[in-house]
Amino acid sequence: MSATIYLIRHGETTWNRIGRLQGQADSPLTLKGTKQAAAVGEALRAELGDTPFRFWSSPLRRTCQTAAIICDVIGHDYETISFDDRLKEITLGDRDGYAGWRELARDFPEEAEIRRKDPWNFHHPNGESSQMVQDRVRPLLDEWKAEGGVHVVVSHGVAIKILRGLQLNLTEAETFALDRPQEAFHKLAADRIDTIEVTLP
Amino acid sequence: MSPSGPLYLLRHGETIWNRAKRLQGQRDTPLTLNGARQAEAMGKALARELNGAAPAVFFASPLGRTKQTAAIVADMIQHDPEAIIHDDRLMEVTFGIWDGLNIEELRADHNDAWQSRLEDRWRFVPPSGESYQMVGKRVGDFIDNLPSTSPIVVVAHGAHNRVFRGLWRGLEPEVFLGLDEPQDGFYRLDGDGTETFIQA
Repeated sequence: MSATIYLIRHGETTWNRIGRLQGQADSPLTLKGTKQAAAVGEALRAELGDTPFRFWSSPLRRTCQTAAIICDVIGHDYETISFDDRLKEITLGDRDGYAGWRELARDFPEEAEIRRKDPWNFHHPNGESSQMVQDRVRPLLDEWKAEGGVHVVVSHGVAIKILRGLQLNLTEAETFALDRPQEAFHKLAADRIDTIEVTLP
Repeated sequence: MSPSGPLYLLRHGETIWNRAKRLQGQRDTPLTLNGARQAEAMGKALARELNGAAPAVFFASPLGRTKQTAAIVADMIQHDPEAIIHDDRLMEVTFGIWDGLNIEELRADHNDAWQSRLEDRWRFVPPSGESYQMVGKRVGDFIDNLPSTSPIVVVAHGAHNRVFRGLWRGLEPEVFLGLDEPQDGFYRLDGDGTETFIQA
């Protein structure tokens, strides 16, 4: 079966704007984040046309907020979204909500050193490693491909990077180097990924 | 009981469950596209009303829909969203196990209790929920302890705001429980116990 998968990151949040680490903690979309979601919805509507699709989302609040706006723009019923815990952002465990990476390195230098040596397998106390996130999103990607058809997916920066890395067979370093746009989204089909840019009004 | 004012009392924008006519209580759904635009329009009207003055304090209910609305309003009036104070006393009345139901489901499964509620809306306590009287207690406590600075901005909820306005104005429950719950504008409450609707 051939599947087409649209990977969409949530719009800008108040913590994104100030560089605070969210993980599975949460802050609301900003005004700009709201407009990004609407612009992504417009571009997605043009992409989808009349093709039937399934809509998936992370159940965290910022992705629910983004998905609700996209649903209204594309004319889809929010209540039919499949909310899937596997699409949640990587959690930094005890460090979710921390002020920023610099503050983390300053306050926990030993952890920063371990992270530097093996970033892919590092996890914060009670948190997840990139490998752990890959282990939970891989079955979902496999399910979409087995099912075929079109899937619209609203998720998070790191979770989406890892999905893209799987799709393109990227190395750990290449996966880390991917971007996390909020004014663009990705279209996975066959073994390639296209980027669809959007413009804010 | 009211401080000097003015206090601007806003309700969150339209949510998915508002549109589906479900009781939200303290459960939560995100804003619709229309709701996000209402929040932006209320923020624009509030900026006009403040006329360059910064709010002395910006309070919001900690529920998702009010945090989302408050963040948009804060951006419109150039207020730091991190400086918003989230206060549990501003949360919506919870209908307990009824939160999330619509009127048809309530009538089908809880008709006797629903009828008793209609007979005494002020004192009726839904199963595991709150009466309006209980909400009145926490809202009264919030108002009594407001800082004396102004202007104050409060982003909260439909039923909650009816109680808030009633207490501010010194109305009787049978009167204030019938007040409106607009999402296309908000109320300015002044120290003399009056209110003015500001259209967004």
